[in-house]
Formats: sequence, structure tokens, C-alpha cells
Amino acid sequence: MTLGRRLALVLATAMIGLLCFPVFGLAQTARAYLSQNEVGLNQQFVLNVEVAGTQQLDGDPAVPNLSAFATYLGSGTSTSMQMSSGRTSVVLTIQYQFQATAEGQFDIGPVTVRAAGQTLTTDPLRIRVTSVPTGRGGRGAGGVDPDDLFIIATLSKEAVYVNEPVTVEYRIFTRVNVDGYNLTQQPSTAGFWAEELPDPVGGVEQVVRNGVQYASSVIRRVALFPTSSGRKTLAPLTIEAQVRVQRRSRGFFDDPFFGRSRNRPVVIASDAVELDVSALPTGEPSSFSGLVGDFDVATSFDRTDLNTNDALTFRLEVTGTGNIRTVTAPELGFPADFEVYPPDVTEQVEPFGDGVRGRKVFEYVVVPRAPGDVVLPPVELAYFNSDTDAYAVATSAPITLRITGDAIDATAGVGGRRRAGIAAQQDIRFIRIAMPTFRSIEASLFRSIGFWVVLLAPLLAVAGAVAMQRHQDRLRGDVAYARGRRASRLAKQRLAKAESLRSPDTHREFHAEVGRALQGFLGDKLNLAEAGLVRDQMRSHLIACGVSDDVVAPYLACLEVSDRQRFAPTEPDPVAMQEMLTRAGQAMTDLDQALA
Amino acid sequence: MTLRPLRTLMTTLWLGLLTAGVCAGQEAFFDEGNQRYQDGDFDGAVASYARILEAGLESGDLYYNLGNTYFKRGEIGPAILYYERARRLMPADEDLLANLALARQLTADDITPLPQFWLFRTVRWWVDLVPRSALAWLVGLAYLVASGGGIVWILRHGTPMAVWARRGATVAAGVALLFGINLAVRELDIGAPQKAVVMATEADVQSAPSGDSALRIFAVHEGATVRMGRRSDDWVEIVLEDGTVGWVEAAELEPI
Repeated sequence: MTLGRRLALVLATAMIGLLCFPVFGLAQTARAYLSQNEVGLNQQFVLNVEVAGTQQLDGDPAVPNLSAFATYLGSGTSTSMQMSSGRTSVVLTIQYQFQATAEGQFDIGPVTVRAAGQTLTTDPLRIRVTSVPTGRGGRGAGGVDPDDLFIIATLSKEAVYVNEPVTVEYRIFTRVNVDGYNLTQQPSTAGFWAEELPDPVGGVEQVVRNGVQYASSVIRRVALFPTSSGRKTLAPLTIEAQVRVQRRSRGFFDDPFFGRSRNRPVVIASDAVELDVSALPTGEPSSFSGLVGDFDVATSFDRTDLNTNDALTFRLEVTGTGNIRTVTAPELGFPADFEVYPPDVTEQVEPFGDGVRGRKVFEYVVVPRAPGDVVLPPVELAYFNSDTDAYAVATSAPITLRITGDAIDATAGVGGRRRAGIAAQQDIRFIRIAMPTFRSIEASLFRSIGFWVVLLAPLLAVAGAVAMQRHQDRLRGDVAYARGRRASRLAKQRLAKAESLRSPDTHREFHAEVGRALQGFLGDKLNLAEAGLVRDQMRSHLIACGVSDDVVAPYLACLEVSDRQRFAPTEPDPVAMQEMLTRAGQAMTDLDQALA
Repeated sequence: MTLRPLRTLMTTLWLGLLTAGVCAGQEAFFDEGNQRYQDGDFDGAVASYARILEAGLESGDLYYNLGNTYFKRGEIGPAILYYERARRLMPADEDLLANLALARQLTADDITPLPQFWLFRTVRWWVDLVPRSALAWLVGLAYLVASGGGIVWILRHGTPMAVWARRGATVAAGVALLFGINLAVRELDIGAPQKAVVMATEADVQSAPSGDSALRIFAVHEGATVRMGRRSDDWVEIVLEDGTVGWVEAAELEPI
């Protein structure tokens, strides 16, 4: 009777009990136990944590770290009811499945569980991992016998060279019904370059192993290319299989016909496998870049007759078996006057034998810049042939190009050949020899006198010019004022001159001078052109200026006398001339006062 | 003639401006440095050029030659520092820009500058377009022409001469204003942040002004040009050209 069946029985009993008795929560306890205290290396064991008195945990239990000697595979939970002395108790069991990875005696620390506000701690455990496989008698998780369901990892070769492919095949063997599986843990391929191979189409086959018949199927195939030498370990592959188990009930339904089945997840893992990787023998060709397998190289141009500056396509194709993806572009022997642009790379890889085979194509655009017949030397690809355990070099056939046309300066072309480094090709430009103008380090434009002089002097000059212009404008605009100010002075000068002419001989000149004095005085006072003045106009001007007729009349009378004496002289009379001067002076003084 | 005293004044001013800043003595050191450079005596060349700087004098060409000398000595940090100092005085010099670009290629850090807004780029180009001394002369001359024209216009108002004087003064005033703004921006360092060059072979950039190794974000290397921000004791906040911000010790930088 398997554990599953027993559990089902207990469960069924508990169900019946549940119908009759109330469930009382008991004091909560926790304990931990192992499926077996002694386990063989790479075999599985289960750490059970049993919590009584609850169905609910506050968070996941804190399981000690067992990574020193075991790999965690998965966990499961089950609940059961127990009846004792009329009381029902609930027991929650969590199963942690591990695979032992190191030999020796190991302590498993206490597991801490929190449930219903309480913190429960289990007693520590001890496990012994031996190199001798103990019988696969221990019950695996989910109640499936490890002999009934397991994975075997197989290497196509036990010993390989670096970069030589080896295929790992993971095959599942089962005697139980497996509905399906999914990978839970992909083994790490650190230290390898892995090429996943497609699932084989073989399907399920019947295989006899150790005298027992199993249904068997390949679940994964990987081609591995070790990248370094030494002893390598491949981590186990873990899957979760859906195993169909029968659930039985008692009584009337205890019949296979009514047996109901359900799927139960079972976590299983393959063994870790080891592989010897040996370094490649010495004596590799100079162009060897780590290729292992069997390769061929071929080159071609899309045409062989062309003009300079025409672009042509150069195709380099590497085919063969081995780590074809790692092929790097080999050295090409193009002359320096060829422009070679970086290639377009395509690759196709398919599984073949233990590894892969395929092709990698490099397509270069090449532009010749000089005419002539150019022989492209063979392209060499060195590799290690793992079948013959010897180095070999694949060689392409030489190709001749016939280029016609004029030479073109390569540097004038687009891009030009890529320069390898800077320092080797370029230099800085030469120093300055011509004497520069030095200036003070602290010098600022705003601290120099010149700046402020240049800034302010024109402002001052403009201000001065404006002031000067205003002064002149005022002078020009105030002629009347100036004349007015000069009027009395000029009149006095003229009267003085007239007095000097006061002799009978110069009688005519005397009156002319008096007339000029009188006329000039008024012209200056009123800022009028004196020549054009008629006496009537003078009168109206003066009346308009607000001068009374008492003042105007004597003035005009004097003027009339002087005019008459000038053009129609009478007998010169010195007394009358003296009187004339007095009257003219008095008239102008009165007029001056009236106009003030 | 009313204009004669003004002309005399202006001639005096120009002569004063010409003679200002003309010094003597450093020509010998400059020639000596050049000769040593050409003889391959780069240490000696640095010493000669340094004498001029010690005298408190500078020139774009002097900084350029110093940059070249340090470059030849394989000291990328000081080379970039002096190229940057030269660039302040002659921002559009082609030889300088070529050498600076080459020196930058040899620095350890590959910092991709953030793209700049085109308007700022254009303004910067415009500000840096004319060399400093030429700019000062241009602005000064335009300013004097503008004011002279103005004076003629005022004093000879109403004559054909005044019309021409006014036109000339307007054009000159426009030129003076346009390039005067340019000159002011340059002289006052408007919009030109304080920059520095990393002198240490490798400078740890911290997330805070503290030497705590837990705060180390990354490292910058000799020759990297950074913008300086805040200061805190011996620490300076720096902004890389790609916008990354951090703190380095001030001793590891040299302001441009």
C-alpha cells in the first residue's frame, strides 16, 4: 500500500469523523522529519515539516539553507485530519524535496513556522549522504517510487577537446502514467557554448532497463561546446511531471471501476554528469582561432571585370561541422588601393551528428581605386580536426580581377580605408611662431582707461555739439533783440557824427545823417528793413506797438524836416541845426521809453 | 572752425588706446619657448612659456603653444587645459580646435555630449565668431564713427553733408550695437559656465561631497572637461557633458 493510498484512507476516515464530531483546535505543534536519514549521493530526499492544529500558516516556513550538500527541487503541501479520543486534529505537512550533492554527515537546522500568531520551531535534524546508493526504497515526493520515474542524462562522449561538441540527451523513464511535464530548472551552461537541438520526433518507446520495462522518451537535447579545458560538471535538469494516481474510497465504491484518478505534480531531477575536456594539442597554425570540426572555405566575386570606382561584392563562405557560429572573418589579402567595407554576415546552423553543421557567409562591398590585374591571394582558415586529431587549413582558390579605368585618389573617395589608430596616423598642428600681442591676465575691457575714454568722450563731444548748436540757434533767432539793444547806441553814434557836420557847408550831409539816425533807430527797434519804410507805415507800426501819437508825431516831424532839408535845402542856420539835433535826440528818447 | 578741437581730442584718444597694453620683455621668452619646442626640449619650452604667464601676461597663441608642448610631453590633462584657455581668447581658431579634438580623442572617457538646443548653438557661434581684439576694435571704431556722424549732423543741420552724416551714423550705430552686445557677452562671460579639466589620472566621482567609498558613483579620467557647480569645502560639484552629476575633490580639477 502506497503512502498515497494510506493518506487517502486517513482522509476518508477523517471526513467521516468530521461529520460526527466538532473540530477542536488543539495546541499547535510543529515537527520536522526526513524521508530517510541516510541517502546516496545524487539521490533525492524529502524534508517534511508537519504542523498540527492549523490549516493556515502565516507565510512560508523558514527552511535552513541546505545548498552546502543538496539542491532544492521543489515543494508540496498536504493536509490531513486525525482523530484521537473523540477529538479531531488537523495536520498540515509541507514537503521539501532535495537532491544530495555532497558526501558526509550534515546537520539540518531548525525550521521556523509561524501559524495563528505563534512561532513554532522544530528540532534540528541530521542526515548522512553516502557514496553508496541506498536502495531506491525511499518514497519520493508525491508517493511515486524513484524507480518508477527518473531522468537519465547521457553524454555522446565522455572526453572531448575544447570547442569540440558533445551532445547531452535527457531521457525520461517511467512506469507510471505521466500526463505531461515542464522544465522547472534549466541546467546552467556556464563554461559551454550551448546549441539547443530540436526535440527528436521519436516519441515514446518501450525500453528495458535493469530487467524492467519502461516507457521512455527524450525530453531535451543540447549540443555543448566547452570553452575551456578541465573536468566539467553539468548541473542536473529538473522537471515537474504530472503523474496520474488512483484515489480509492472505501465501501461500495472500493472498486477499480469507480476508481477516480487525479494528477499529482512530482518533481524529479537527473543526475549531475561530468565531462573531461582536454586542451587542444600544441602546434596550431598561426591563423588558428579556435575552430574545431571540419571546415571548408570558398570565395567568389559577383564579377571579375570592372572599372575603377565600381563597387563589387566579395563573398566568403565557410561551411562545415563544428562551432561554425564562432568563425570570425579571416584575413583578406586585398591590396591597399582597395576600399573594403565591413561585411554583412549571415549564418545558418542545423544539428548534425553530435554537434551542428552549417554555413557562415561574409559579404563585403569592395571598391578598387587603381586599374590593373589583381590576384586576390587564397583565404586560409585554420581549424582542428577532431576526427583525425590534427590541425588542418582550409584554403580557397585565388581569384584574378581585371580592373580598367583611371586611378582614383583613395583619400578623395568616400570614407577611405579605416585607420587603425589615431596616434600613429595623426599629429597635432604646429605651434604659433609669429609674435602675438600679449595682454595682462587680469585685463578686462572694463578696467582699461581706453575703453572708458572711447565710451565717454564721444558722449561728451555730442553733448558739447548740442550745447553749441543751441547757443548759435538762439543768437540767430534773437536778431530783433540784438538790434533793439544796439538801436540807441547806433542812433547816438549817428547824432554825434551829425553834430560834427554842423557847418553850413555840410548842411545837406548833416540832415542826411540825422535822418539815418532817426530811421535806423526805428528799424533796429522794430527789426524792420529801414530802407523800405514810408512814414505812414512807420506811424501804423508804432500805433500797433501801442505808442501814443504824442510820441510818434515829434519823431515823424523830425524825420520830415531832415528829409526836406536833404532834398530841398533852405538857408543853412546853425541854430536851427543845433535845435534839430536836440529835437531828434528827444524824439528818440521818448520813442525808446514808449517801446520799452 | 568748430570741428577742429573735437578732431584733435579723438586723435589723442585713439593714440592712447593704441599704446595701452603694449608691453615689452616677454617676446624673448616666447621666441625661446618656440625654439626649444622645435628642438624637442619640451620641458624647457614649458619653462619659457611659463615665464610669460608669471609676468601676468597671456595670449591665445601662448596658451595654444603651451597646449601643444604638454601634448608632446604626453600630458593630456594640462594640454586640454591650455587648449581650453586658448579657446577662451580665440574661440574660432581652426588649428586650436583641431588639436583640441585630437587631444580629446586620447582621453580615457568617451563622453557623448547632450545635444544642444539649436538656438543656443547659433548664439554661441555668433558670440565666438570674431576674435576678441578685432571685436573690440570694430566696436570702438563703429562707436566713434556713429558719434562723429552724430556731431556733424547736429552742427551742420540742414545741409547735404548732414544727410550723409546721419546715414553713416545710423549704420555705424547699428554695427556698434550688434557687436557691442557680442563683446559684452564675451567680456562678462554671460552664459559661459565655469569649466574645469580633470588633472588627476583618475578621479572618483562621489554622489555627495564626502570621500566615503560607498558613495562612489563612477570615475572620470585625465583630460575630461566638466562644468563646475556648487562648492563644499574641498569638494566641487561637476556636471559632465552628457549631463551626469557628481562631486569630486577640488584638487583633482583645474579651472579653465
